[in-house]
Amino acid sequence: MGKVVEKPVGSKLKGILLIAAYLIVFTTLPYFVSSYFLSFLITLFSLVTLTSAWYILSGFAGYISLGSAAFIGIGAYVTALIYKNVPLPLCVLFSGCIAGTIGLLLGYPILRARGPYFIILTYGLAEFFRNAIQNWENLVEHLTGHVIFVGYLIPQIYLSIMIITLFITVLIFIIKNSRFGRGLVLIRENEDAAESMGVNTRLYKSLAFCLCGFFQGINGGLLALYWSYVEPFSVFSSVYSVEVIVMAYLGGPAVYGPLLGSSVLSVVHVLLWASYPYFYLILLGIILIIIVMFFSEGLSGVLRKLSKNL
Amino acid sequence: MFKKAFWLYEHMIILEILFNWMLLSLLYALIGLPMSLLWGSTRVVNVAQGEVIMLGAYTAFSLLIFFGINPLYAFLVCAAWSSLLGFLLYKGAFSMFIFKHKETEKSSILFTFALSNIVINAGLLMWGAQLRGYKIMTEHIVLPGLVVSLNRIFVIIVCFAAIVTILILLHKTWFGKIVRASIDNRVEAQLCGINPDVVYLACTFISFLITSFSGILISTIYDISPNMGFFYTMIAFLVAMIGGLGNIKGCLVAGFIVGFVQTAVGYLMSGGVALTMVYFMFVIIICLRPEGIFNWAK
Repeated sequence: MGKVVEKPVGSKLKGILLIAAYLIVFTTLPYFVSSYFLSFLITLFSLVTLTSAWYILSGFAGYISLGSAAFIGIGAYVTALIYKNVPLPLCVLFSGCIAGTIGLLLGYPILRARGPYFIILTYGLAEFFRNAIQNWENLVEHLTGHVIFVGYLIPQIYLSIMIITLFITVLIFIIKNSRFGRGLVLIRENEDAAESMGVNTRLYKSLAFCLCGFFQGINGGLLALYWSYVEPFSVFSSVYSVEVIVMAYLGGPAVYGPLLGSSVLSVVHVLLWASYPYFYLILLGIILIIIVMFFSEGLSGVLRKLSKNL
Repeated sequence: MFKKAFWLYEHMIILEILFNWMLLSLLYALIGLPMSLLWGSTRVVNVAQGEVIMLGAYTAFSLLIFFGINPLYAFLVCAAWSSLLGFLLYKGAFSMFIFKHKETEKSSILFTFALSNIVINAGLLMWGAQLRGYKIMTEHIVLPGLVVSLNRIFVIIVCFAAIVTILILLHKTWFGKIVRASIDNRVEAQLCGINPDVVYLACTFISFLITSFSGILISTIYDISPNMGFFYTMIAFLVAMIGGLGNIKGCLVAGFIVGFVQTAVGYLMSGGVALTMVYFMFVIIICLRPEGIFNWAK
């Protein structure tokens, strides 16, 4: 709108207070609640992380990815392959690094494809990785899947995924007001103009893809430890891609959108996924259709309208 | 003696490979054609195409299993529901919402992606996740050098007839001229007095009709499951993109290329690796030449 928005005084202090409150609440929580509630929180946090990581590439830069399952699967597989030889925290971090590197390397050629071509490409990417790994297992290892033998790790997984969620949420807020984030938004609005303004578009896009891969890979590694079993069809399942898309669109185009959308939908996930998986996925499809057709602003748009009216 | 027998065996294998290549190529061309037509003319990218194929296959299957009707009557049933579906989707979603969005392709991908998700899971609820199949025309014919079953010959004939019909429709008739004009340049076609609404509706209708027919053809030779659609969607994208959008002859050539890769790799290595190669080809094509290999010929 061309209006200069002044930052409210003490917004940094408010942010630090919020972070401190978050840390205090969620680190003390495991002492009070049951492990069932902890696993619900793990689902919630992992969905928030996945959606926020998706938002770095697809929200800021406008390159919509339908293939979040690719990075989750890669992260899970790296963890499953190296967890015996490497200490677990390093192992999870390493799986994120591998997924991020793959994102960076793939990003350079892949992000040449613009608009619909990129979306279709990511639609096939997860299936490509699944197929390759499945064939590798069939032809070379002569087995399917890996079992991960680790003990009862739910509190540790919960703590690490909580910290990662905090980290990525703060990161998104930082990115939004940085040179990098503004470059990405410019790419979304008009890529040719961005290039002529001196934005290194290919580097920016690849970096965004890399960050997205890194966080989704870490998440995949943690989820592999949580499931304790890794198999091509389960870790590269398109269900994750669908969930991430629907949550991000439900949240809408705002920095807190991913947080909003995934918090709402993860409750639905926990209620429906165990007993009625097909109904859950049908519901996700219906939500996505409604949002694409009628509310392109999502929940954050509704919130914005409400706060304007008040 | 043995050498001669071995030579004969090799010879027969080669004939069979050629036959399978022919079958796959024509089938893939027929799958890629509706995608190419719909995307080229209306700019709607139908990610749910594989699911329409799945519905067509299950129509044939359900007719035989639940009602005992010959699956060939499925062509009539599919013609009915697919044209209705095309009409409803066009009137209800495409022309009302998706054409009005700033980025038609993006919103149509998201819309059909959600739609495919709904259809797959409804199919899983209705038919279950297991692989199904039925026997039809399984008698074999002995030709010099190869033995083929009747249903494969049937599929080849129907695919060929459908592709030739569409080629004639698009390249020899007045209607085809209109469609090709709006594929080449939408704005100028409208300036020349072509009503885009009619053209788009016709393209949507033809696209859904052919897609459901290819589903029936697939169900006569392969096994079917509610999850089978994804692979055929990928094939459709691949064929449409190699051939160039809206380019029917390019589609035919692209079908032969994809069929060749799958048959050759499948013979030399294994069927699973052949699928991986097809997906790999998909990634490479989009990275290098998303606007199509044969589009300079137009």
